[in-house]
Amino acid sequence: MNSALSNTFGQTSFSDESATSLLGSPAYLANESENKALALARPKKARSKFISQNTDLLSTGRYRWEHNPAPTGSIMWLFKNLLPSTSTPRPEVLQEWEGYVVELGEKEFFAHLTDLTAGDSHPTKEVEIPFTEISSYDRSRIVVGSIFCWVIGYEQSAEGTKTRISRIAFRDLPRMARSDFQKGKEWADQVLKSWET
Amino acid sequence: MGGSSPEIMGNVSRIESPPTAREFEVTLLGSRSGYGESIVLRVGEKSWAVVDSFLDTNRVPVAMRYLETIGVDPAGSISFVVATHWHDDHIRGLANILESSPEAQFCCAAALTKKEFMTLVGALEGNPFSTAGSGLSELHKVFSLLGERGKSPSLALPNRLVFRQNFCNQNFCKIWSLSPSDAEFKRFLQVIGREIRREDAPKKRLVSSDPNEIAVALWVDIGEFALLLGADLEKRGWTEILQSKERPSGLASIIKIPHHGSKNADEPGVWHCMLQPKPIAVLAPWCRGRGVLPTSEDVKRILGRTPSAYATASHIVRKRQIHQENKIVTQTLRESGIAFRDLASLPGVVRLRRELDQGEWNIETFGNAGRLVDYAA
Ligand SMILES: [Zn+2]
Repeated sequence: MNSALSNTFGQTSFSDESATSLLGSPAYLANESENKALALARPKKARSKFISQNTDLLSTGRYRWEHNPAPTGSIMWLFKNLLPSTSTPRPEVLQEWEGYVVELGEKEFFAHLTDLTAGDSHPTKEVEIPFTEISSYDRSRIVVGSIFCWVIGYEQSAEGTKTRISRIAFRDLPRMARSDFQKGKEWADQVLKSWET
Repeated sequence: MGGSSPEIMGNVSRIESPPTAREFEVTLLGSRSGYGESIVLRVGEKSWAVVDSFLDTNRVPVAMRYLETIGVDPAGSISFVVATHWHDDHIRGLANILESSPEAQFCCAAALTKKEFMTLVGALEGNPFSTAGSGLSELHKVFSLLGERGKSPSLALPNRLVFRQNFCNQNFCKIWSLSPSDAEFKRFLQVIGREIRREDAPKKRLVSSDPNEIAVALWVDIGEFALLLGADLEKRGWTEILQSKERPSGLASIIKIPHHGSKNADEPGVWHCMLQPKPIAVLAPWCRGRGVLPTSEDVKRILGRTPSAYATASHIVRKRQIHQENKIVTQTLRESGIAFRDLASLPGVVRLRRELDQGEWNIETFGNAGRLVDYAA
């Protein structure tokens, strides 16, 4: 697990093997040095203000990248099938969004997208995505409020072959922990106390 | 300007023109994308209030941008800021406004400052799990800022005077909160509790689904006249307001239609008991996913109550586009057939002004705003 994480963006963190192992892992936060190393591979503008707080979403490995067979003809299918099977993907990010689902339709879902490449911290776009663009594994994870990452860019194989990619990956979000509530209570106490004086 | 009858002056009038010394103003700003509502009120000669907020295309709160446009320095003149509720289309940018207006008093539902709810805000925001925040990020920022300043918010409860200021001479501007009630607060906690309050619940982005959630309706009294600002309060909230014996008396001549004109926020009693016959009605349309408000039915119903109704947009911009700065990205999107709708857009503006103690309302619309009768649902 840790060795996969300590690799830079686009190496083993995003290979099929590591994606599988990430699936079963509990949620965690990467440490600061890992974040620093991983953030280097991303365009500078894409760094959100939360990165320095150990929550760079891509680098923590909490994204699980598409590894299941995608429906024929979908973006996933096209890019999976264009990729040589022996390749080690090295994504070069051209555009990166973080989205959250706002509405479910019968054949599609709607999401609000925050442009990480532009350094935004608020969504500026609404998008309608057909379920056929999402792997069957991920489809069951699409509920209102679930969060995904969408990257468009290039992937380079070990042999140097460059392939254009567009990938949507839903995140395994951490669960609310006792420590979250403890932190929340401390913050609430602090604020409420300041209002008394 | 200064027309004797309510008339749309469209873009003939310049949006830059400031009000005269004795003019009251209420201006509704709405996003053309249908995802943003903000109200600007003149509450004193050099004093303004902002109710709710959204961001323009440059990520600046539209209320601040508007005030700058009419030659008012927002930082020095915003004295009262209200968050009617926590939904995304009403709250973005409130922290920016407060940050740049150190003297401003913040007001929100008393329920939002209960320890139980604030613990949830802190719990979700303590370990950020999304760049776009948990859905409560703006409130977290606002409360943290007020905490740093040691400045407690004004708490909105049914029939509570939350703001009072001399406008000029003997004219006072008084703002009353009419809601939310305790019953609404309990329902709100139940909904939130089911979703996420318990330990071990998976974290997720909070997305609004119920318009009623502890929305703050406001009654603005300027002596000679009054306004009713309906926030997103829905029917049962209005029923409780109508049953209350302590609510401010009088009939308002202007209503900001609640919840973007939706049927579930329409309570006929409000029109009979709280408003003058055929008042001026203003609304900001809303759109998310497949949902659009007002619907053509809603428009018909509202126009049946008053012909003097205005919307901040003549239609919702639903056009989807794929063009991105990067050609390769545009090409990839074109191949996928996935297209976007811009949420950030220029606001439509409905501006109402009148002299404090006499005269008719002067109604102006700017941008894509216009009469509700011309609105294409
Ligand atoms: Zn709304």
